[in-house]
This record gives sequence, C-alpha cells and structure tokens, in this order.
Amino acid sequence: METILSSFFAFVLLYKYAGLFLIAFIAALALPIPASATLAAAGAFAAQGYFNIAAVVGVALAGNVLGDHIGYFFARRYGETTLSRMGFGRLLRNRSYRMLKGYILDVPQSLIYFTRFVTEVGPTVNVLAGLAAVPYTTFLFFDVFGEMSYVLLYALTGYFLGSQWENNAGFLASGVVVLLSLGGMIILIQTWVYRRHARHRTQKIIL
Amino acid sequence: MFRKFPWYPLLVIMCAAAFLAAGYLLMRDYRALRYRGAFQYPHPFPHSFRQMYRAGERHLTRADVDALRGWMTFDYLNKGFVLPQEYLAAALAIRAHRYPNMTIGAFAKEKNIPAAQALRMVQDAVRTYLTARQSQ
Repeated sequence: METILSSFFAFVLLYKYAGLFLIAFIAALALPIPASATLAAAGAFAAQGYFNIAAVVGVALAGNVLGDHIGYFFARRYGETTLSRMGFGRLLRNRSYRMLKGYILDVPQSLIYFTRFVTEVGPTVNVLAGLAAVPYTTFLFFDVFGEMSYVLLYALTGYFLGSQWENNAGFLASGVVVLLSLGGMIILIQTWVYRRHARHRTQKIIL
Repeated sequence: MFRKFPWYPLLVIMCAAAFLAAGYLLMRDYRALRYRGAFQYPHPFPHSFRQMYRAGERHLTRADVDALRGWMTFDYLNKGFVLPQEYLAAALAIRAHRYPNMTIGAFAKEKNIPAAQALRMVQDAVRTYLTARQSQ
C-alpha cells in the first residue's frame, strides 16, 4: 500500500497541478485509487510552500466534478441502451434495480452528497443517478456541494497539519468516520421511509 | 427469519455508535492539535522548511533530512530546503535532462545503485550544504 501511495505522491510532485487534476478526475470517473490521501499530501505540500492551497482546492474540485459529470451524462445518454445490448436486460427488469432507481429518484440528495466522501462508491452513484435520470440541477448542486466539502476536508487537513499530516492521519480518519456514519444513518432512515411508502402505494393500487 | 430480523434499526444503531465514537475521537484529537497550535495562522511553530528559513533558522534538524523519501523530487527538495538549483546535480553528478523534475528513486535507477544508498547520498549532500550555510 505504501508503495502505491508513494507512486501517487511522486506523480503529483512530478506533474504538479496537472497530475493532481488527473488523479481526482480518474478517481471520480471510475477507478478506486487513493485520491483522498493524495489530496491530503497536496495540502501538506502547499503548507510547505511547494503548491498554492487555493489552486490545490480548485484543481481537485474541478477534476472531481468533471469526472462525476462524465459518469452521470454517459449513463443518462447511453446507459440503459448500452447495458441492454451488453446482455444486462434482465438486470434492468429486476425488481431490486427498479426499486433502487425509484429510491434515488425520490431522495437523491443525501446519497449523492455523502458518497462524494467514498471514492469507491461515488462513481457507481453517478451512473445510477444518470440511469435514473435524476434532474441535472439536483445532481449538479449536491455533487458540487459534496465535492467541495470532501476537497476542503482533505486538502485543509493536510495544509494545517503540514509535514505532520501522516502522523495525524487518525484525526482525518475520525472526521471521515463521523461524516460517513452520519450519512449512513440518514440514508438508512430514508430507505426505510421510502420502502414503507412504496409498500403503501402498492397496497393502495391493489385495493 | 432473515426477513423478519430488524436489520434497519440495528444498522442505524451501529451507525449511531460509530458516529458517537468517531466524534469523541475527533474532538479529542482536535483539542490535542489545537493545544499544539496546529490550527492557528500564521503557524506559531515551524510548519514548513521555507517558514524556518524565513525565520532565520538556517540549520534544519536531522529529523527533516531523515524524513526524505525516495518518491520526493529534486525540485521539491530544492524548494523545501532552499538549495541552489544546480547544487544537488553537481554534488551527485546527475546528468539526466529531467533534473530537477525527477525522483530520488529515478536517480537510483539512473546510477544503477540501491534506492537506500541513493537516499543516503542525497541526505548527505543536503546535510553538507545545510552545515556549510549554518557556519557562514
């Protein structure tokens, strides 16, 4: 893991803002790479005078938002057609998928916002939002709001902890767990409420 | 039995417990860091190599040089330790055109030496310069 992280740090030092943009973009688009640790390191490099912190935040935000938008628009434009042609038609007709699609259409706000902090899940939610045709203004607002929170959290933690950011990674980890557990509670409660309403709607239709 | 198990309340309780535990650890770490002056600006204790240089401290501690790693670039070292651009290239006989935009690891590969040896060479070169600067 340390070797992988070292490679990303070296990449950012070699290619500077362009490298940071590329890492943020690829992580938001598809690949689960250690973008969060790289962003914290970039913040620490800014504290040491090697980068400008405003530029680090701006570049990382731009990369993340662009990656999210490409995933969203691609899924919205080509998603279900492409999946059907690839042989996933059965998945698209599956009850669980339809319920998930209905859920994100009804309450997309918390799901989009909190999954910005989980780079492994974020790309999947972008695709799901596109497939479900979540209104663009809703996706744009909560995506930018979520990415801004995520970028500021990691970049500023690295910036204020400076060269000691690696030794104080526990502080950052606690912050992330607080946000994710809060997000988990909100999403679970919303899911439970959504499923109850969906059951009531089904019962009303039957009656 | 699986369907009737109250998964949702259990998961909400687990998330709430994680939230409270992480919240407590977060506040504890925040207080400790704040006590050490981590969140004040300008930083009351040296936070960067450049800040120490501007403060007139021209001799960096061994800990700073010992913290060098193979993924760091020569450009980063030059700016962090405020070294003349060509000092490390001359001291380490680096011929690569990429300099200073190359890592210590790449320097080791170019010289065909182990990474640990290359790192020691860079550290010795930086220490030599810092010692000479301090004595001026």
